[in-house]
Amino acid sequence: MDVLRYIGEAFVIALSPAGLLALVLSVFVGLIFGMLPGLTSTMAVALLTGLTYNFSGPLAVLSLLAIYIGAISGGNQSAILLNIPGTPASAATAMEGYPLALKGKAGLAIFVATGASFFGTMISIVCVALFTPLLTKFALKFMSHEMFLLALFGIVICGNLTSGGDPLKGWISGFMGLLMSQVGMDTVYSYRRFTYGNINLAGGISLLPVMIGLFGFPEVVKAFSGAKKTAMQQATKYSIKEGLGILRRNWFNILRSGILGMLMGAIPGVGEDTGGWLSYWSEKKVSKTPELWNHGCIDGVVAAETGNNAAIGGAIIPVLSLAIPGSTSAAVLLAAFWMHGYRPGPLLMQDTPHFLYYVIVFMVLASCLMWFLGIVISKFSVKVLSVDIKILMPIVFICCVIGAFVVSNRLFDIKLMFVFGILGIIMSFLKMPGAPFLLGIILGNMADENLRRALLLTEADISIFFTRPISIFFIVLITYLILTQTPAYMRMQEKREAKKAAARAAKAEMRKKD
Amino acid sequence: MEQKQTRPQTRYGIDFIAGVVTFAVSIYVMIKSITFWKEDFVDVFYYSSGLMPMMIGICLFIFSALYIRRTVKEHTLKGCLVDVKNFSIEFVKSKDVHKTLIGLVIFWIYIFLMLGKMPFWLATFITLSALLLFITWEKSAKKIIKLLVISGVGTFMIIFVFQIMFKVPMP
Repeated sequence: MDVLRYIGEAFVIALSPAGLLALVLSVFVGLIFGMLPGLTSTMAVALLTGLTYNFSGPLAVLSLLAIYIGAISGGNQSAILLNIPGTPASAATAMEGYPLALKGKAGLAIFVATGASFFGTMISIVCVALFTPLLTKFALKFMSHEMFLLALFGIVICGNLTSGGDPLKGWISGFMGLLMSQVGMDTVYSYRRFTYGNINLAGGISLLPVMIGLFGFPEVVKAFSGAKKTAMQQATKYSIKEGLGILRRNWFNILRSGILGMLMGAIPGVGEDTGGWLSYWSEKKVSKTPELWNHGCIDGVVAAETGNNAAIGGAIIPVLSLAIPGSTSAAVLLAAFWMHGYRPGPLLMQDTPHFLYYVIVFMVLASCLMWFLGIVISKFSVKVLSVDIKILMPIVFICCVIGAFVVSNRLFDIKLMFVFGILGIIMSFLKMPGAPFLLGIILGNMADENLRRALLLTEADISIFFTRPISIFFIVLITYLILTQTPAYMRMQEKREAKKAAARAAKAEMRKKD
Repeated sequence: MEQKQTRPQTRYGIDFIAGVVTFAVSIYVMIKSITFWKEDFVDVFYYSSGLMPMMIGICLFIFSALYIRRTVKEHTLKGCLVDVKNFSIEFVKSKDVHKTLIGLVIFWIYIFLMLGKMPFWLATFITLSALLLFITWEKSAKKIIKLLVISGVGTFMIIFVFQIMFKVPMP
């Protein structure tokens, strides 16, 4: 009965005049953010967090989820019309979408892409509803030292997966984030660490200035160096019946891509872009018409868009149940939930059981609206995409400033945003991912508090780390992840691959002789 | 997907410097963590406020040592230093870098010198105009007037949406 009550409450909030206005505006703004290259879903959520600061908790959550869903889906329009993905998540869509636009089928491609985004989100919402309570229940069994290991695991795997092939940089970024979380009064003795007598640092480093600095500021600065323009296609007329027919024909593709995207989203740090690519690749592998691929195959658009949007729900599952985000945008979303007074994690279903159902209902409504608005906006997307990004970015910079200021009304936070913005630029130059850094800041205090509590309770008996299956599981996993990056392991791997290649070559030689 | 993921290419000289900076930070953090322990009057280190910084310091120490070792092994120390020198020359000469630095100076002036010392709308209008004129500079009175109008409208819209519609306090 409680579940029905929570669902009812969520509908009342979302369908109230304020809720509806917030929903429509957030999805709309999200679509625009997603559509414009240079403005990402992460940036959209980070900026909106400041704007929704005076909203009630549920209304703010509604807006944030709506803008997230809108931004991931909006990227398909620029991918199809411009061959430039509005967000990295839509990169795979451009592979087939732009050739379709060149053939005069841009309108149909956008309709199908938006529909696939809708179905992808819906599949992932079902998974959120099914798996979050289970995972939360399981996470309740975690003891203090396991919570510490969980935080450590989150940072290590996020560093591994977001670094684009260089985990060492991902880990450095994650541990630098952990270091930043140590600034301010410690959670046990209120002893001031790394504050250097600055009263503004005593309360720790606020999340919002860091988020905006790391993810918004570098994008603004990039506008200073010229961006090339690509020939834009028009969103042509299409038959809705044909579009729906394509979606119906692709039902299995949608189901598989939805599940794959959801799984990719659920792995900390992987996110929507991998969800899109993996789904695209898996559909390409089983396609009966491989010759059509890369020349405008609509099945590829369906797979990519279902996959990247399904990753949204996937990324939200670990956010809600373990407080570990599945993607960069989800990391920002987690920080935003914290700022609005929600504490996702193992205690979620005990402390705020309504929150999960609110999230589910808000996501369903946002994705329905996203499909509708996405199609409506496609009629004007050529005009939206004509906006000069160089003119837009200075205005976005002012929004960054306001966003950083709004949480504590301190000018110090704006200065902090500037400093982290510079750090973000340096990190992006070094190809060091920002997501582990943010995750380090989010999880730092949790890791510190739980480790010290565990050691105090056992009087520094570290055998507790090796007596329970959960902690052993995490230790094995963390060790494995780190060991796979050691030179010895890499040499071993190279030798193994060389042996395999030699065996394959020998086999081929034998076959030739036969 | 079938291709093996390779490490993204970066300037190895800069990688070397980043490694050295991280290494220095890690040593500083380890020393600081001992100070925290001595100052927070906790008898045992494992419960003091220095524990976590020490662990972070050790991890950063190991990672930065690996980072430096990898970079030097792949490109030699001399190669790294030569690359730093070349990078510095490119950095000084690059027009994109000049543009970025000027942009950052405008941001700095806005954040550190203007905000809180003059009305928000005025500071924002001046900064927006400066940024727009700088990014899309063209010696044409028509273009300049157009950009000033965009700055004015942009400032008004920001104040209208944030301050009036959403009641967000302005700096």
